[in-house]
Amino acid sequence: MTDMLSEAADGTLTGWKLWFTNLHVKYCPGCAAALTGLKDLCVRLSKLGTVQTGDHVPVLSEERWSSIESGWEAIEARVSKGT
Amino acid sequence: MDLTMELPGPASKDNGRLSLSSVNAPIEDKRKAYAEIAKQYQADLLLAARRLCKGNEDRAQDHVQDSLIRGYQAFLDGRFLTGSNARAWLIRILTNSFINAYRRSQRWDAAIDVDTLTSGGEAGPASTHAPSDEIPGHSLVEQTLDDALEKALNSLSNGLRVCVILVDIEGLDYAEAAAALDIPVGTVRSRLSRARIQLHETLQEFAKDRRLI
Repeated sequence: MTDMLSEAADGTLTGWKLWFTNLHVKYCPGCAAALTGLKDLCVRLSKLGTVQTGDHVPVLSEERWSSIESGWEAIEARVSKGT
Repeated sequence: MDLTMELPGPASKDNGRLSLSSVNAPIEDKRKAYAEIAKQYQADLLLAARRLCKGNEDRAQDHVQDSLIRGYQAFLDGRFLTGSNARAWLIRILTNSFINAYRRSQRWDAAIDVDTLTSGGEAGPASTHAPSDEIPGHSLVEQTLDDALEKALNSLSNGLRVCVILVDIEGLDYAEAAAALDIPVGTVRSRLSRARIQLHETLQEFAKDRRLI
């Protein structure tokens, strides 16, 4: 039941499992409360993955970009040599 | 044993599409196109890397740097296809970088089942525990991301935490997360279930401690 509640919370549960879960939570206050809590949790977690307006947007330093571009050049050199 | 994971193939989501074919274009154009997506998604990668590294900024930047370099090789090899989701693809490369580094440092013991690691909190062998500078309370997370949810997330074992980061926070679907972690989809599903229950319980404890409920 726990796995089905978890999947019902993020919207990936389908078919007879979804039907059964919905029927179960209708008559089980404990699972209904757990489902509500898990849905709220999923929403809160998804918000962590998006940069909110007004947030500091992290960027790599110039030094990091310089190292990355050096890495890209080394790859291009290998590609041009056919290795 | 070769511990290096394969770079992922193309992802399949709708957002983050790339307009240039990575197969037929001149290398200058490929470089330009790749640099554009690298700069576009650097913030997403840094945020994800910080969570994977529990707020250790230097390690997070190292992983992003490594991922963007390895990603370019994969891009030139044609392992990114036009129309694929560039963000999800880069997140998967980042995850591979994190896991490979973890395995190399022998903190990730592939022979130990995640159930062993999570049955009693951090009950695994000492080699599987995070070093003290990564334990919540010692990390940058405590200073900059002082939030109950972030703390609860950091209290999870790595096996569970990475699944939550990929699926719930970064928005990868179960199949993409399974591919990134090189585990079956069913394992992602069960880890997510356990992780969410643990997070929910931890958050309730925080709320009770703060007399919010």
